[in-house]
Amino acid sequence: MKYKWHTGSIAWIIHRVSGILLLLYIFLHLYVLSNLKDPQKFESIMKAMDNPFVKIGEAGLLFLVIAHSLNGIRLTLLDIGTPTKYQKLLFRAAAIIGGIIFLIGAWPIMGGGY
Amino acid sequence: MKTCTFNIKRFDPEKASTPRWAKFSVEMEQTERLLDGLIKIKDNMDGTLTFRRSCAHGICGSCAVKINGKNGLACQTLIKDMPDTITLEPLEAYPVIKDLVVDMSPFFEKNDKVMPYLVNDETPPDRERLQSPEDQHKILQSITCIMCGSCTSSCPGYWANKDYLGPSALLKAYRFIFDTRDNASGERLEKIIHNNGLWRCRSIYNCVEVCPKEIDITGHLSKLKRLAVKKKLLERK
Amino acid sequence: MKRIIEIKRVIEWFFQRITGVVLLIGLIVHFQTMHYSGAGQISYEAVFARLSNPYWIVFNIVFLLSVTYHGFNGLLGIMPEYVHSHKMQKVLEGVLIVVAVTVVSLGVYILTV
Repeated sequence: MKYKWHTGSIAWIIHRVSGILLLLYIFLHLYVLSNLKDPQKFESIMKAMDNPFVKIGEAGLLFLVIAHSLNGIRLTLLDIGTPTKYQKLLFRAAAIIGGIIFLIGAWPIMGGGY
Repeated sequence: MKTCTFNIKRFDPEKASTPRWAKFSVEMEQTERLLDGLIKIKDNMDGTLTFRRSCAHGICGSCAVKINGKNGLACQTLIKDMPDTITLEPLEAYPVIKDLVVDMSPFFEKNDKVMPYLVNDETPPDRERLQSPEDQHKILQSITCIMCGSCTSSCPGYWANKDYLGPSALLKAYRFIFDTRDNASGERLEKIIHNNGLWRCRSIYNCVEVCPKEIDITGHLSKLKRLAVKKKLLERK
Repeated sequence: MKRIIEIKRVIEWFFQRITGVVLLIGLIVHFQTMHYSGAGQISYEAVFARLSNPYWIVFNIVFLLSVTYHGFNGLLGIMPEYVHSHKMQKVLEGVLIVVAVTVVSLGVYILTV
């Protein structure tokens, strides 16, 4: 089945996919945290974080968090009564602001310094 | 004049078990509508082409079809706004009876579930039950719904769950819940806040994109959501 | 009890928004402290010091509860759009709730050293 994509449905599919992926990340996060109590394990995990693939994964995670958060703000604003005529504008604003936050946030992750 | 190619998804359950695509080249004026093209095909080229139409003026809601991947009324879509190739399919998510004709009964069943009628047992005044212009304004948009089914058929929430009431039935609920002359708003609200009701709306706005009457359906639904939170959570005694 | 079932869906929808806002604030604090305040903040000592600070404990628990509620309530909400058998829906609902409770318990155990 093929149906024309619109701003709203694109935002919806991004929100849904990023939401599911972020839920899966909770398990990974818990696993990493479960090694907190042992200083040696903690250090070895911190070392493993320097792996470039982990860095790319972290940047991807940041992207998902930003996408889901900003679209979440958009949806909440619309839920509390923002007129429908602004829904596309809000999506574009979220995309631009999200892009900027992502670049600023990914820079230190990728080793660009704080 | 321009030559339009009508690419129509056809289905005849008596002849084949799967749909097929049929192409028709039709000479069209820029000022004509899509429905004129369908009528030309049926009159001059293939009399077996089946589609619904009645008023041909955007008020009966019969001729809703999927036009180039997006729902709309054939009688309200102008040739001048269309590319040379026009793809027509029956509305999504309803069972197809033949060609562009779908079975709308699932759609009307949902409508029946929200008590789509005025409930008021008080003795009516000598003439009609009067409403102030302000009160009328609250339901003005929702009254203009022609029940063509375009919105519910465009809703991914409905595609995924055919038990979902869908935008049209929920808009109908809005129309009576916010009608100041109605006395069953509380009861009606309870008929839409169950698992297959209001909360299946994910604010995707596909319904708003297709509504031929340009009703802000999602906006009305989010007003219903706020009302439900107010009545059921915040004002509980 | 009947009233609770009646308003269950309203609560779910409303709390999804509330936890969303809580998460937004929490995420900003979390990201700022953990990832954008210099490497010193995520040394073993610094992490451990925060874990024994009562304010951080409250923050972490609230954050954990919001994350788990938001994530699992979200998945519970969309699950019936992909799983159509009512029996399977009930089973998955039970499984997801058990998993969510496990996640919270594990999380609380990890965060309270």
